[in-house]
Amino acid sequence: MCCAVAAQACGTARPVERPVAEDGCIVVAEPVVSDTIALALDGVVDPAHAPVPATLAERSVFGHVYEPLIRVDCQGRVRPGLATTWQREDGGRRWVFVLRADAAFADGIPLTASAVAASWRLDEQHRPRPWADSVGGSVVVLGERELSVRLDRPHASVPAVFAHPGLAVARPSPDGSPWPVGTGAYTVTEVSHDRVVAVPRGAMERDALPTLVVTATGDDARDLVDAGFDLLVTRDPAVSAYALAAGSARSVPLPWNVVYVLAVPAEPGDPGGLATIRVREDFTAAAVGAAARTPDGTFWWEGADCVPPTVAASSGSDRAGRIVYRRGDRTARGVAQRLVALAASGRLRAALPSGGAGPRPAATGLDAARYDVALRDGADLGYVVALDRTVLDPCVAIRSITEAAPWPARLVPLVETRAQLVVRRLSGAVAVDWDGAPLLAISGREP
Amino acid sequence: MSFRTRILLGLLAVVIVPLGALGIAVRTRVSSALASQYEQRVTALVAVIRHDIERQDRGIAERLAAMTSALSADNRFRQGVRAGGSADPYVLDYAADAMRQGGLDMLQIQNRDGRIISSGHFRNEYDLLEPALPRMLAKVPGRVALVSARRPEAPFLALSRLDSVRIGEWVLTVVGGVEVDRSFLDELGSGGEVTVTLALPVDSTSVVSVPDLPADSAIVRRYTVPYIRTAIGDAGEVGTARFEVTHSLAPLMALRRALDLWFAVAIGGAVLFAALIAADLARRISRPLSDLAEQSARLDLERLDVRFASERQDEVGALARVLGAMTNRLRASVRTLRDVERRAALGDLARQVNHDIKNGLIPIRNVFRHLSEVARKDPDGLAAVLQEREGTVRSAVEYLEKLAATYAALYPRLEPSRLDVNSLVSRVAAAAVVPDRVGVELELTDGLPPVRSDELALRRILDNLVTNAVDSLSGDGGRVTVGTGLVSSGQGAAAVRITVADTGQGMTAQELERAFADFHTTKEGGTGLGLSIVRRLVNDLGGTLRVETEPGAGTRFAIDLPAGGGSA
Repeated sequence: MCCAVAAQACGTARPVERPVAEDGCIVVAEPVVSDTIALALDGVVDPAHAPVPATLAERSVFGHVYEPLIRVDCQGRVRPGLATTWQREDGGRRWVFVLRADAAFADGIPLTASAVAASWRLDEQHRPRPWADSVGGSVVVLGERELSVRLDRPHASVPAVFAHPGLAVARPSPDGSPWPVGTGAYTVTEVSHDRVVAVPRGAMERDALPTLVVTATGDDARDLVDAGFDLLVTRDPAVSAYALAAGSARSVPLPWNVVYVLAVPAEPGDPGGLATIRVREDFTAAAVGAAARTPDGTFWWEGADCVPPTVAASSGSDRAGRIVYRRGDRTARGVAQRLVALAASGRLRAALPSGGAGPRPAATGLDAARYDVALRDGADLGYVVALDRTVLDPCVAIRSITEAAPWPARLVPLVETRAQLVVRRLSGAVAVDWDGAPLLAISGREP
Repeated sequence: MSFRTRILLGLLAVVIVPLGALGIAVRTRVSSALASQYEQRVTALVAVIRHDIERQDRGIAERLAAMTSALSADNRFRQGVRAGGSADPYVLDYAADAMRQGGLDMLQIQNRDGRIISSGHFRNEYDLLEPALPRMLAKVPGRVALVSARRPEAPFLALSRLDSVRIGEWVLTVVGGVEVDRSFLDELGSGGEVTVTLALPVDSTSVVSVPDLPADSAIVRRYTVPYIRTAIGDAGEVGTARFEVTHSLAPLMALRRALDLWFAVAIGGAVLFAALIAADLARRISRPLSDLAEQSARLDLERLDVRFASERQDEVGALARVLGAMTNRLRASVRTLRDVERRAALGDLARQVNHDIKNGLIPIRNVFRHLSEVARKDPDGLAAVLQEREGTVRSAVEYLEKLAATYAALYPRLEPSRLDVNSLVSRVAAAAVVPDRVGVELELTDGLPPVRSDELALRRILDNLVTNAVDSLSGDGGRVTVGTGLVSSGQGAAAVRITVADTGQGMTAQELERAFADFHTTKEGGTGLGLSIVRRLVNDLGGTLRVETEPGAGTRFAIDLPAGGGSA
């Protein structure tokens, strides 16, 4: 659920706070003066996830290596990607895409419609569900570079949803490398547990783009600063402050792209779907360890035209008094602990099951696997869940939520967070994608 | 009560009574000593707890003093407090850093309003109100108490004390402490039989469980400290917490059980040992006495072949020798008695012979007196008278010859040889003159050793006994059984037994007493010498004769002859 996917154009959801940039989504730009950029990412990059990212760090790397059929920029505008044109047929039940003529994999093999279809059927457990399943099963190859996708019904989010990273095109590496071969501007040439080297794959890209030397860490991100960087992406204000304190750097805030919610069992009087309860409690940046603000506006799950299936709620009397968070997510831990403190003071009665009359809550961190199991069981007092602030398709995202937590739930938005882009030296431009991920802008193909 | 039982009971009394007394004394003494040790240990541990808590309190006080000193000098903290406190990450994290560096488990900084501006044990508890905690701590003696504190994960207990610091116009209260958990108590108790538990007021949430121990299974001493329970926005309460030092009596109980077990084993072993000794003594004392009694019971005048030989040098051996000597004297007396009887019998016999001879000579003398008278008065008629009286003389001579033969039969001369008893018995039975109404049966045992005896004498013995048996049967007939067998002679030697039993009229005790007297007969035409001759011949053959009889039921004669033919 926390990796909730897909797709609704930015314009239909809460407007993305646009970074100061004259060219739309370009947040920072410098002349191309160097052929290498050191990109430091606060998080881990696991090639096993490619091409579907699980973290912002992976998104910042995979976005350079893999391409979807189309692109959606930070303002929700649909742009060509691997497909140069797309056509709506049969009242929106059938979409026909024509691939770019020069599209090819990084190893030089031309991209064909069959390769796109094969890619969508590849490694399905990592693809966004249930959309990818439907798309993968309905694709029809019409020609060398032409394919069609049939849908069960017209979707308002099409074609924007084809910009989801989960539908990026990839092919298994012929040399056994864990990195699938992509069609993006970059190709990975060197990999170690905390270092990835990606080079521009073609002559045109080499002229316009520098080589990316990516370092990532899941531990103390200040080590990245000490090791030297040109660009740093982090959610921790202490890390960005440390980087800025080193001098010769500036910080660029990225869009508010994650909202932490408290998921609790629905109460008998709640409306159907994902009921949303508002609380006005202060989750300061100091408390949650990230740039934070109080949630405002509406969210994509509110008023969505898709009702999650109703499942009987478990009894509240036997519910464990735990507020569970995913271990390793420092912001989630801070949120959970603040929730426990507020619950002890009686200030969260409206948000907690049975008006907080149950056992005294305790914050409990679980590893990813156990967290997923606990969330599925729904036997705890509540769960701290990180949701994307922007999605391409609310119904797909809601389905993902209800699959991860198959019980009637209410969501209590608690705090929104965003990452910081710390720039020390830049050769070229950085633009934010529809989900707020920072990517190097390629001339003529920027998001 | 048997001699063996007396020995057993005596030994048991000798062993069990002192052993049981020893066990009770040892058990009582050990219990008393251990209980006293436990009491001392528990009392000492209570003193250690008091001392440890006081030491912890001093340590907390020193660390809080150092923290407040550093706090008042920390400009950044001062600026953070001025800026609003909890919004500043430095202020928010200050308590956690200071707590870790100070070696504390709890540290909370509040402003004058009781609002938490920094919490080391619960970072995100900031900005909440808990004024009751410093207020109550200020009231308890020594400003130290057990405090029910919170962490995000779970509540916990902390031995805490209060301090304060002034920063500009702000007076901040600082509450710090160390956690009191199971390990804290285990360290005090050092594990083992001594446990330290903490009992909180009933209506409080106990974070340290108190095990339920029966009052009589442990020694318990208590030490009390103030206890404060507060919550966010709650008035809180002050109570009393008890450190309970418990020394389990389980080791003592186990030791008692072990002692009981070992004494039970010792008593059991003693009983077994006594039983073995009793059995051995019985074997050495009681059984020889029983054997002597059994041998003595076999003694009678007709059977004095019982030997009481013993190599023992104890009282039993002496008794056996006394009995043996007595038997020897009895045997000599019997011989003397037999000689007397023989002499008496010989006197009777002499008188009988004299009488018989006189009776035989009287006709002859009368004939010679008649012939002398005829020769003197009528010499011519002498031949006729001689012829007339010749029959008388001849009859008298025949009488005397018969008389001589009869007396010669009283004592035949023996000529021993190896004899097969079964063969002889079969021949005697086959030659017996038996009426039709009488049945003679043989019950012979195969494989009998030969005996060394005089065949004629033994045949005479058997003829007499079989004839007597047949004669004893009434007109309705009956059965005579002649049998053989191998028996022990009493000194361990083997003997061949010949039995002649009948189903006749039997004998009374008086009849049995006279049955072996010479010339005593109950039969018409009998000589009265049959059984007398039988007894003498058996004795002369080295055997024994025994008679079992019952009037109306029959009589059974048993002759035991030494087995083994020896050299022929």
